[in-house]
Amino acid sequence: MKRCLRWFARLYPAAWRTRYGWEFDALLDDLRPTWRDILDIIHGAVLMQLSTPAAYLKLGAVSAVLGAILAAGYSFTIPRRYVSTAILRIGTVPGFSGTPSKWHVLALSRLNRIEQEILSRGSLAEMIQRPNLNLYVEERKGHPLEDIVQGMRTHDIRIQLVSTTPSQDAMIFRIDFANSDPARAQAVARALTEKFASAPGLEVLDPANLPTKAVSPNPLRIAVAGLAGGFVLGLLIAFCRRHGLGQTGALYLKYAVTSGAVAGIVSGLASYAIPDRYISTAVLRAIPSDLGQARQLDEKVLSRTSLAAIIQRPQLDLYHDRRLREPLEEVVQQMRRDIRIQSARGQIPAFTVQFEYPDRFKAQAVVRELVARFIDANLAAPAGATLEVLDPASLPASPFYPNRLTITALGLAAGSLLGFLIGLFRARPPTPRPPRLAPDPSAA
Amino acid sequence: MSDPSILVLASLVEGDKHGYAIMVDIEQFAGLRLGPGTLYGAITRLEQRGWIEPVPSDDDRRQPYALTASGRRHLEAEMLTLERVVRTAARRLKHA
Repeated sequence: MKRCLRWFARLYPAAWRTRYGWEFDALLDDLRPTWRDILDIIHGAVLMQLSTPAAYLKLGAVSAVLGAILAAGYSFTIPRRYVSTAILRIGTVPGFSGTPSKWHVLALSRLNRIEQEILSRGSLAEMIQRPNLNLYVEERKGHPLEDIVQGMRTHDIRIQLVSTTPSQDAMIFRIDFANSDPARAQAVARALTEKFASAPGLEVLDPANLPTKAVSPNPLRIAVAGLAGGFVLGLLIAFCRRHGLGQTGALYLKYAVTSGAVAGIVSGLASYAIPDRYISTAVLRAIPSDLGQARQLDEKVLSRTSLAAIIQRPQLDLYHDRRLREPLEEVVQQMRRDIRIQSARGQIPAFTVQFEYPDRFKAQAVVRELVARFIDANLAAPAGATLEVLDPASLPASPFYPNRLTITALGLAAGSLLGFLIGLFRARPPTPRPPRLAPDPSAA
Repeated sequence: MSDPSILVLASLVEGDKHGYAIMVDIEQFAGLRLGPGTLYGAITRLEQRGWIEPVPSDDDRRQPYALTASGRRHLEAEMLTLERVVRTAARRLKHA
């Protein structure tokens, strides 16, 4: 035990050891050591190190190493992500005689159309629930399938053009699928490849591989971030200690934490007073890709007469309270604001129809009705494109608004800031006074 | 009352002592065992402020310390304050 104490005594600064080291060693020889003495020596050594001129550097370095170790440890708790990749080729259409640039546009449009079909809600939902894939099992327990499909489409699948062949007669593109299980990543990439390859003119150049190395997280990068964060924190602590801000800082922190917690709880509870709003979505595709012409139908579908009829339909009875207070014209304007019709994903010749409403079943019913009206209006148009329903109106399972977590976090942040400011103004450190003994009343 | 600096000063009023003797003395009169790190942290601060000083000794390993005049004045001032606090608290407890 005494050897252990002597070893820890080496943590004291060299200058201190030169002055007090020998007598400190004598003290360690004399006493009967306990485990508490080890902690006491470490504590004493740290305080002594912090009182030296190089305290900034020392604390920064120690804090940086601790930060790096903690961050590296944390990186091992993050689930690994493996990416399986397949390479495909889309070739010329038989009998095509246009220029390479025209073919390029045509091939891109064709690729987009196939991609749209494969990434449609129905297609991905089928893949997620396929028994041999059985994807997102844990997520499906707590989230609606709609959200899982959206997450798969936006985060896990990536389809991108790699290059065009030198002869300009084919385009190479890749399909990536990311998952925490390498075998599952390969299986899904393979399933996606099969769907693509079933289209005429597409062939698989390189089948989906079995990934051996995780693409994320990068423990080195996280450890470096921890190192930098720890170093900055160490410098901050050293600065506070050197300038005697420890006690005052703790007081500000107390105000900020208290105020932040109260504001966070209050805003979190208050968010439940805000009514939920749901969005139902449908996707329509125009064939051929004359989206401009299809979008001209907006005017007809969103006309006052059309929307007023939907609003007043007895089964829907939309905006009931509002209609009692405001003229129908105003309610129609509000409905126009709640309907969103926009192009889907850039170049793809499709558009989404969305409706936002507090009742999720009514939101879905309205989108269904709007889709039906788009198709009717298209049929009545003299030279309309063929409209196809790619994704029917969804039944939203969870509200998109209000985001209670964000509201609570904002409340917490605002409350903390307010608390800090209150602390700054109300809890200023007392002005130092020269020590003076007050007269003893009992002596009188 | 448990400020290590005051306890070390109080121990040295009786006479010059080295580190271990101070530790044993404090344990006897205050019932408090100062760890070696805490004790030498207090000794370092007190010497820097000129309230204690090392004194020559025959023992080449153990360094005794003595209270200086300014250290004595500081301890007296602290004791007066403490005494007043103790007296006030005792009176209030009696009337509570």
